Amino acid sequence: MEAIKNQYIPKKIKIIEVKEETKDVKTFKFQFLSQEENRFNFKPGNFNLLSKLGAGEAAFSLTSDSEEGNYFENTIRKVGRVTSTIFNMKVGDILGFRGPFGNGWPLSKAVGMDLVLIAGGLGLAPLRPVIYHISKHRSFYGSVDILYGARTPMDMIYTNEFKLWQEIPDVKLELTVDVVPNGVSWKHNVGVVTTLFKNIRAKPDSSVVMMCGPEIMMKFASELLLRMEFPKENVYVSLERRMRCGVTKCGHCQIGPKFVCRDGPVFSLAEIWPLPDVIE
Amino acid sequence: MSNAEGFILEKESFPNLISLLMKEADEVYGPKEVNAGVYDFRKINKPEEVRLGEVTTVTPPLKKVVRPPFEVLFKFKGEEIEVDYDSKIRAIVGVHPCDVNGLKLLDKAYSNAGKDPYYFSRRSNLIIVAENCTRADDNCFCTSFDTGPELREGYDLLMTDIGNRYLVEVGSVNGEKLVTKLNLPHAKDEDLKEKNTRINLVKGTIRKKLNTVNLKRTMEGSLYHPIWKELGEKCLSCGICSVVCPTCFCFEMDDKLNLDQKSGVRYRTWDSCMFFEYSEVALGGNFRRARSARIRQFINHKLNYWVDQFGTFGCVGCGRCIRQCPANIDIVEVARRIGGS
Repeated sequence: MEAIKNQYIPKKIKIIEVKEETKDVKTFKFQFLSQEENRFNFKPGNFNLLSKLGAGEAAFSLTSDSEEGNYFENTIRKVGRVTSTIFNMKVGDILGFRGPFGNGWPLSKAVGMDLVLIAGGLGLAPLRPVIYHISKHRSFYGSVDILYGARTPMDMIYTNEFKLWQEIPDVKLELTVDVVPNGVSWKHNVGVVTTLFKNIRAKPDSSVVMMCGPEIMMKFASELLLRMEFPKENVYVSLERRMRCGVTKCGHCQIGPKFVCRDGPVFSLAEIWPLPDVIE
Repeated sequence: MSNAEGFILEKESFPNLISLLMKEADEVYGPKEVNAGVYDFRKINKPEEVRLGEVTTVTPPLKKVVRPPFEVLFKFKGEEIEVDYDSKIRAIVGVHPCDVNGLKLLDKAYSNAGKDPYYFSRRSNLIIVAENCTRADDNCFCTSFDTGPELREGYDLLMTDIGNRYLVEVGSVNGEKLVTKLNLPHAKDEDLKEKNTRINLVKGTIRKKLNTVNLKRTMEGSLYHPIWKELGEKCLSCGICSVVCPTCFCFEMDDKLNLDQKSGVRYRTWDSCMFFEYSEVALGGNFRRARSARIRQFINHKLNYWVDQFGTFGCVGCGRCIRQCPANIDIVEVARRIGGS
């Protein structure tokens, strides 16, 4: 038999930095143990699998600067067995990596157009590499609107980077939360993310929308965007499915005929809307 | 090697073939009667255990051998990984045309986005001695997909029961070597004619038909058909349709730790879109919470999405999902009611 590359074997990585984002979210910075692997390349919107041998494997968005070759980052919420295990790990600890997988955001297509980035909760993680990309190649794109919603101000991630983002020319960052708990000061919008849509500067016929968040949020946001006459072809969503293998074999991530791990996780509404099966 | 050329194996000499395979291969599998009237492919220890000529077995033999229900991907100790590929030579005797065609579909699924090394390690060491069907039951519908009752390719040897003897056709260099070792005499024209007569005879008895003309388009247009709700109320979500399907390829992956809490295995097991947990995501979200959504996924995958994914329907008409369904859900009947005929 000819040698077949084994796609199931994780490569060793070590944690080089841990940053606490919220009470249950941390951003981990990783480096490969093998120096050669560190010329690591991915596209904004790609994802990877993290393994802790014995605890299992789970999929995460790549959230760092895609042009940074020496490390990469995943932002992780503590929700299950794998994430709880990783959550307790420290700088120097070893994990396994597989990837990068997926298609990524349509950044080439968006050149010369206005950009609208819409994020709900942890959905900001896969969009962060887009923001890095914009800051490095600012002249490629028109105006940039970033609309970010979270449950409460304390659930917002990357908050210490907001100032940097706003300093990028012609980038507007709009924030909203569902609830402001007593005693917390908040000078931005309150309401679901769609309440920010009236502030979108981008013209529907010459812009690309990139969106990630809870599926129910993306459903309402997509419906509103279509009513505002953003064309289906230019509204992109990143979908969460249960990517077990990352290489189309395990079947879990299928949406109709699409394998989210390969054909996605980024899809235009023209490709997949309405979703046959919606997360509820 | 021309497939038209045939050889003759007298039925009383059939055990010689099994004995030869037992010598050539590390393991031989064939249909055994495991309960009164119930046949399944099992490991053969003595040639006389093999029971050819029965209709489809309960489980799909080739999937079970090439992609076992439980499979270790690698062992680990601390952070060190050890991979072991199963490269045993396995002969499998008496596989029907629908199952060989089912294996061809599994090959596609396991070559998608890179070949699966575990699957192909077993697959490339398989000796397939297939058997054309000279009997069918009410749930066989292979003629709808042209996947039986006669096999055209994908075998090393192909046998057809033509009375007191088998016509043996050769489909590979390995098959040719076996025939040479058995020193089988050449078949005569009348033996080939007898094969055709018997194949045509069984074809005539296969009355279950799934009309595949426009089937994909019909299925595409029926995602919101009321039948899914009705089936969702009937379906028990037991997943037996996936277990017995020769083309269902989904699996779940997980880790198992040993008592030392340091070493263990990462493994995969068969999984089914019929199960609630299959479509669970973080925080308890689920994109196929309703049983109706799950049965719709199963049937559309076979008769609709497979065509986009792999260029062919994901069904070979073996009828297993129909025979085994405790709620009497019949994929052919579903397609017919949706708008086919």
